[in-house]
Amino acid sequence: MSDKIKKQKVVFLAVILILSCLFFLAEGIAANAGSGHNVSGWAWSSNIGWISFNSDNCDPDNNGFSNGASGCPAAGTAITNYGGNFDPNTGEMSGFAWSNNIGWIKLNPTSEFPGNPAYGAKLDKISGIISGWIRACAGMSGGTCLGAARDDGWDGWIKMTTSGLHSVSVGVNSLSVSGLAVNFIDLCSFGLRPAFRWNFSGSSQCDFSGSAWGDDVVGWISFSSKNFPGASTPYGVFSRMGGAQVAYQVQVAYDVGFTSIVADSGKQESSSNLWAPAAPLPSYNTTYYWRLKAWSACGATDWVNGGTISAPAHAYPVPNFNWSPKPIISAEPANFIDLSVCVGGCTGWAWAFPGSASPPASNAQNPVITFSAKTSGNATLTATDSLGYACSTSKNIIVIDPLPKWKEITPF
Amino acid sequence: MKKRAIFIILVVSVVIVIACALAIFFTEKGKFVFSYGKAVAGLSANEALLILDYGGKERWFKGEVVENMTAENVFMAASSAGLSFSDGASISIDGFFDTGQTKWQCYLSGKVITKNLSVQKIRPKDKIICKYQKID
Repeated sequence: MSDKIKKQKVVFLAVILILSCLFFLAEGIAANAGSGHNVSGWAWSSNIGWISFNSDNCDPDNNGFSNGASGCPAAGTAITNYGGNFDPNTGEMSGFAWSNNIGWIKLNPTSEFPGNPAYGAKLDKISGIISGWIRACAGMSGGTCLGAARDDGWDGWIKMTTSGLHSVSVGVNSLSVSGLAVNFIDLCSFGLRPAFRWNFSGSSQCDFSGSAWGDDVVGWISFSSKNFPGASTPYGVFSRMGGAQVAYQVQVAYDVGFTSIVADSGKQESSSNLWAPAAPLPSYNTTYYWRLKAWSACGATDWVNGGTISAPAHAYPVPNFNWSPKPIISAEPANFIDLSVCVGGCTGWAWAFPGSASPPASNAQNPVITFSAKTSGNATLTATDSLGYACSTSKNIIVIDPLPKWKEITPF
Repeated sequence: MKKRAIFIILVVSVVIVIACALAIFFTEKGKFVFSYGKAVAGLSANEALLILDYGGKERWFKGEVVENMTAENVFMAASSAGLSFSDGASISIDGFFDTGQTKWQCYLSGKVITKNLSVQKIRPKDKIICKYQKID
């Protein structure tokens, strides 16, 4: 009986061991597999030297062997496909970087964080700052990127942003907006409600800057030679995560200096290239100035002036009309009554009638129309004011057959 | 046994008579309810009925209903039979118009017409009753 239990224990441990190996193997594959990593370039640590963020640094022809460049394994050494990645939606990093001295550095550790924030490296797409942690796998027992911390005091943790002064961030390489345009959506229906449009284009490459910090072995890791003006060897880490717009802000003001703002979208996290304020602009006969700021995952543009938009001298006409009788009776005259409102009074009326109307159109203010047969359709009035501002409205009218003659009867 | 049957018949009869009397007494339009029965019998399939109650005097009109006809059209059609009607700020029928104390209240098949007469559609067999009554 006890032998049987022992055998069962052995089998159980064997299964656990095999599963662990498979898990480790899978992790190893994930570390090295796949192409199209969108983070590349080099970082530098005075303690551990070059850190490569993409296998194409040492294997630019992607033939699977190192070219032996500085910081790379010896020429001809087999090299796996690895790299860092930004998720363009969440800003979360993943993948691995490589150091000849300390080996793999995992960019998205998931547990046992030594302090806040308790997550792997992550980009705030608005501020451009990368926070969170990355971890040298050599800092863990067995260097597996899976085990517990070593027992000699080095845990491999590297903090991307330690304070406001020491942070890693992704900056704008080249962002631009073009095709800025504005128009009033519909002065008749919505008054002074403008729609602002633009096109956004951003560089596919976003440069890292700043430094991360790892206690003990690693020390400072510089992500760009720009951290050291005059550095003899230019280097840097960059991302090709794309230059799509992730946010925008539109402001409208009375003055070109934008000291008197009348509408402000605020920072909208959106890829939209159109903004229409919920409320109309406050005043007619006024020139407004507008400007735009847009963000990609890399950073923001400066304010870009959109020019001016001139409000018309006064409100557009509000066309309206009524008629009698209702419904209209064919072969009998129908009276159409203009009820339009124009600033300073309406000066022109253009009517259009459906079906068998006679006349089918009129420029009288209050036309009398006769329909020769029953019909149903829209009558349309366009009212015009003294400045030529014109607006239209349509209403459905019903024309019925001639009324039958009723007769009076004696109450029952 | 025979006396008991007669007694039951008498009680049932009395109850029916009382119920009818209450219906007539408490139903403001009871008079018209009974009139309707006769009126329905007098309408052809595509006709409707207009009853005007001036308070002590009534005028009845009937005629054909055409497609999309409204209550206002009914008055216009009845004007061909000598009815004087206008529907401006208030209704005026045969010189009786809305005042602070009395007004015209119209019903369509027993229900108060709340819409404007120019949009209240009329169908065959409808009965329009307008009463010149005191405002509550």
